[in-house]
Amino acid sequence: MTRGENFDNALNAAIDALASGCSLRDVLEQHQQHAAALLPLLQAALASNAHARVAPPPAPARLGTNYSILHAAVERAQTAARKESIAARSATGAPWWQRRIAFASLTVPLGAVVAFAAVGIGGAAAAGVASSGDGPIGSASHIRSRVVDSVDAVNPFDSGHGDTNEASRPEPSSASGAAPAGTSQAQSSSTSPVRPTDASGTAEAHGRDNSTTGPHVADTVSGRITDIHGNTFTLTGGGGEWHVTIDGATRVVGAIANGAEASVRGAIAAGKNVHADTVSVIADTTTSSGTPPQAPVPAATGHGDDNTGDNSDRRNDGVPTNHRRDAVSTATKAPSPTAVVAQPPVGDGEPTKPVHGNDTGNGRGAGNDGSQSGNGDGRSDGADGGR
Amino acid sequence: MRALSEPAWAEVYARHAQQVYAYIYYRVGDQHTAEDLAADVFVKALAGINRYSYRGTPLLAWLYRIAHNVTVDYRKAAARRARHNVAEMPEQIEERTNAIQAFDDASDMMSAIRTLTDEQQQVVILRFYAGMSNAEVSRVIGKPEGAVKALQSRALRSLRRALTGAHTMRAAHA
Repeated sequence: MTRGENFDNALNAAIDALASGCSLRDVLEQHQQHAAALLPLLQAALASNAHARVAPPPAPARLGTNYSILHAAVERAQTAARKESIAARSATGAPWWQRRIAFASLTVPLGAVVAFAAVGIGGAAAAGVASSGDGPIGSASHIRSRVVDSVDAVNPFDSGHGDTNEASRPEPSSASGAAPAGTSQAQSSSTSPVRPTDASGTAEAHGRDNSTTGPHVADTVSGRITDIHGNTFTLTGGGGEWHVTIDGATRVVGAIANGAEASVRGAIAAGKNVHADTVSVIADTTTSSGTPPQAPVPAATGHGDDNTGDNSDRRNDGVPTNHRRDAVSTATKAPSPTAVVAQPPVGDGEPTKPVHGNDTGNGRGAGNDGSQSGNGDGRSDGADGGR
Repeated sequence: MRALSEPAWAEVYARHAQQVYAYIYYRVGDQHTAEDLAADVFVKALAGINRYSYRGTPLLAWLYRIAHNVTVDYRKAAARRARHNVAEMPEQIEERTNAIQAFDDASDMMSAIRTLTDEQQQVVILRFYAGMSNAEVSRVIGKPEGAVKALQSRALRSLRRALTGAHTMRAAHA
């Protein structure tokens, strides 16, 4: 042991002795050979020790606040640890039973969706065949008619249908831009009305959009009225014939006459028999022109493409989508006579209240052309034209 | 995950925050800085808790070690800032130096401690302020007890010189 080490040991022992309560004099007496050198160092040690007792650090003012830092750090660490644990588990491979459960949790719902879709498609196909009763053409026509929404949009005499137009306005997207294409298309496919090709009346069997309501028997057909017998008549058009029955509850707009174009909304039974809720006579082509009615010509696409760029029946007031369904229902059930007045396109950018039955939008040529954007207020009524 | 449980850390903080704060305060001499650095110590401890395992070193010793590193980093950063400021604003630095001098006159011991090296400061603070034994200090600073004794000896000599110098200077000014 060197001399320095001896001194260091003596100093350390002296400090321990002082800490245990010995006096300085006693300690120096115990280490007499180093007493002269130890004294100033022990005085410094005592001063430090006294300083710690006499002048403790000021009470921390923010230790409690600083704990919130630690608290947040703990939470971050816990989150990171969980993520690491999950990642490690997935990287190393979970036990077989965990993988099995994970697989089942994915496949069971998927299988249910597939099965449900298969049943739905089969049912729809069966319904199409049954409703047409005349082979693939009739079936296709009927199915197509379900894709587009009906003469509701264009019937100038049916105020309730005008309400449907109102209800099918695109949803306002934002204050600055046009409606997103996806939104617009989705609305068009489900609620957008379809205008017939021209006033002469394309005998097109229109159906309600099936995309949101599923297979149904309540539908709208249109065509030419023939063979009136009492409270029944035949509606020919769209590659098919419908035997229409009216009763006291049926609302009839216009005069039912042979050769007249009409649209009928009602319950379709057995594919051909329509119990009419509403009959809207569009035009009596036989009497007005004196020529025999033209054979019904299916619309160009029957999928709403024919009204591209001509959403004359729309108003651009941006009714929220969630109001539309109600509006359709209201319009169908509670039409208003005032609805025959064509409304100009609004497009004023003002948020509108939910659509009521009195609102209209049936005026052909009265609305904007579908390419307008509603005065730039972002409420484009859909240049997609009901696609 | 147990190491990350919040109640456990709340207890650790409640038990040792004051000690860590005091240790840092004696080394930096500023209350708010000491509090901030003490919070840093616990955050760093949390981040490195997975590396800690009890091998005879108590948790507080481990916290002191982190506190030492935090303090050293702080001082280095402060020294860099001081050099930068000296180059840019000598007048303000001179004023600040005078202010520090005035503060040191009022607390000779604090300024004397800050004249020590980092290791010496560690030993002095842990030994005389925290009341640790030589063996405990050696575990905290990770040095043999003999080295701690030597550090302690040199630290006390330096401290004595600093205190004497400060006292002499103050007497001369008086």
